[in-house]
Amino acid sequence: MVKTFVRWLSLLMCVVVIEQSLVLWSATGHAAFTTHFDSERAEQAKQTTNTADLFGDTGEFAGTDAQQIEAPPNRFMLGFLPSLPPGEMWMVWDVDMVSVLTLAGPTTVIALLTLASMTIDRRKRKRDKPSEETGSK
Amino acid sequence: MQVGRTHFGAFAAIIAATAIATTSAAGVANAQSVNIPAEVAAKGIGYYVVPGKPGANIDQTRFTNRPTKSKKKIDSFTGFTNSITGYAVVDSSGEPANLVAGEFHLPVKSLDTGVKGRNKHLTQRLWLNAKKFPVILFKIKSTRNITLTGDNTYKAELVGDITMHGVTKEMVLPVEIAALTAGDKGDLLRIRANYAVTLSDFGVKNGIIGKKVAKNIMLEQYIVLSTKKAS
Repeated sequence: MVKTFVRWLSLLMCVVVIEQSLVLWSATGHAAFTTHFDSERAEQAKQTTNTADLFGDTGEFAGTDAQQIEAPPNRFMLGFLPSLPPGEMWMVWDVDMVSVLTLAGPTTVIALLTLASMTIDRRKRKRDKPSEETGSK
Repeated sequence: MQVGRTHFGAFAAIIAATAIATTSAAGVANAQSVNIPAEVAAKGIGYYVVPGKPGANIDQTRFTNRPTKSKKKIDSFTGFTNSITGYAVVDSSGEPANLVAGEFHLPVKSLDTGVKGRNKHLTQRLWLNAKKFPVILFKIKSTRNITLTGDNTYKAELVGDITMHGVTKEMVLPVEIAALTAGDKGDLLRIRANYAVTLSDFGVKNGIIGKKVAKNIMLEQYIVLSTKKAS
């Protein structure tokens, strides 16, 4: 009974981790790859030349926010995939390794193994039960 | 990672497009400072690229990959860079839009897509090969079809050679040019350009282009130049 309880608890924890990683992925922008806030980029943004502002009233080019292609956001986004450079996938402690795949992936495997062991145990009990009843008769 | 390769490919294309700046092997000290050769300076008035972001929400170059054969969000991405250096020379008659010479240099490693792994892919051999071709270069040859559209604002076509990934190709870029005098900042020129670049034209070819990476990468550039060279 304890074993069953532990298994159900384990399964529940796995579902919670998978669900929360998906929630975080959704909440941070459905990014394909994990990104982080880049302080250097933010600093560069502060230290702009501001020359674009000088052209603000120039003819039909008025306005400084004139670029149509949007720059990638500079904030944390949990990605579906890790964003490590190639050949560095073994660095599991790197923050760029964190992603839905690396959070939910192993958790899913644990959940499936737990389910499999519970199923095997149940089948074994069903198999043993009729033989016990026969034996008691 | 396959997806990463896809993204990098796109970036490569984009970068190529942004290639408005690149270093040719000769005539450039380094990407941080580009001097106008004497024989070029003699052609007119020299303007130097003002380094850095032109504005808080503006980058010198933004590029985007929107593959038509893939509707997955994972395959679309944008990037930027603010590391363009270079110069332009305006005809001595003084018409601001008549650029007669110039060079723009863009270090390949400065391309930033916001994803570390993707940035690395972009520099690899399958894409832009930064080790062998560290800079993308655009060399102005002439300007044509100059049309005055407002007070010191023009539309024109910039004719020049883009060198990327070891391949040089002449391109005609539709540009918008504005000029003004900004006191202590010197006389300023702003060049804006929106155009597409075809990766394969520059020898960037692989099985991903055309599928997860668009054949044509869209570029948007906003470059400010000044008669005063930044120190």
